[in-house]
Amino acid sequence: MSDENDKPGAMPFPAMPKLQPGDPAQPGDAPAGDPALDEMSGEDPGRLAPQLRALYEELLQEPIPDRFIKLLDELERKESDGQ
Amino acid sequence: MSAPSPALREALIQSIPSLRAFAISLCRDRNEADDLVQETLIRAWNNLGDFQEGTNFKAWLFTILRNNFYNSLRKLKHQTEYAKSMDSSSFIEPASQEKKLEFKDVIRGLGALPPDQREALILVTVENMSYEEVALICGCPIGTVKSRVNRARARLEAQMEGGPNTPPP
Repeated sequence: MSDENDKPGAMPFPAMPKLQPGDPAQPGDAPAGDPALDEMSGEDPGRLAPQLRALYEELLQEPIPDRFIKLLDELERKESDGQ
Repeated sequence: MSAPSPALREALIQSIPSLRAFAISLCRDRNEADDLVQETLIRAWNNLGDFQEGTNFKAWLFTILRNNFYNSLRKLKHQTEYAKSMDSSSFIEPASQEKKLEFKDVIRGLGALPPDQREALILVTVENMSYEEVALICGCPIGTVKSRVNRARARLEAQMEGGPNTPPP
């Protein structure tokens, strides 16, 4: 899609989920104390995650429709024309 | 305003697949979802000056998309109709018939979730976002996101096991 491989360094995309140490425990959370359980009580994707991801994977793998690239080109052109 | 940098343009392009997936979770069909993504890109482009460098660009875009969606719902005054329509299982349509069958139960279960639970579940599970990021996007406390995700999981899991003890929403 793009010729350039430069990742936008200034744009921090969400990496792996982080646990928030300050978060109060919620009902249903695993009990605190055991690090292994703590790990699971954060943004643990749960056992449905593989199915949910697989459902969306097809969609995420689709090539970006031309209309969006054209739209960005158009916006860029308008701007360089000084509107 | 100065022209957006190539890096920002690239970041916008890279976000499009995720924006489409999120839009489909909110909308009823793919065409509507792509229109929503288009509006989001235009709005993001015109407001790039509001984005604070160093903060989460993707979360910023998702917030714009979500606001756009709920604002147009308000304008159309069909929230109730929307909520009802979500009982249908057709909000996401995998391209292939094979996938459709494979994921029949997941799709039905997702469609039956209340919209707030569904969006929280999708953002955490599919987008790997932290509760904090989802709270930012949905404009609610982190604890609320957690309980929405927990309830969504419990409901979906119970439904998919076909058990009669489906927890209440």
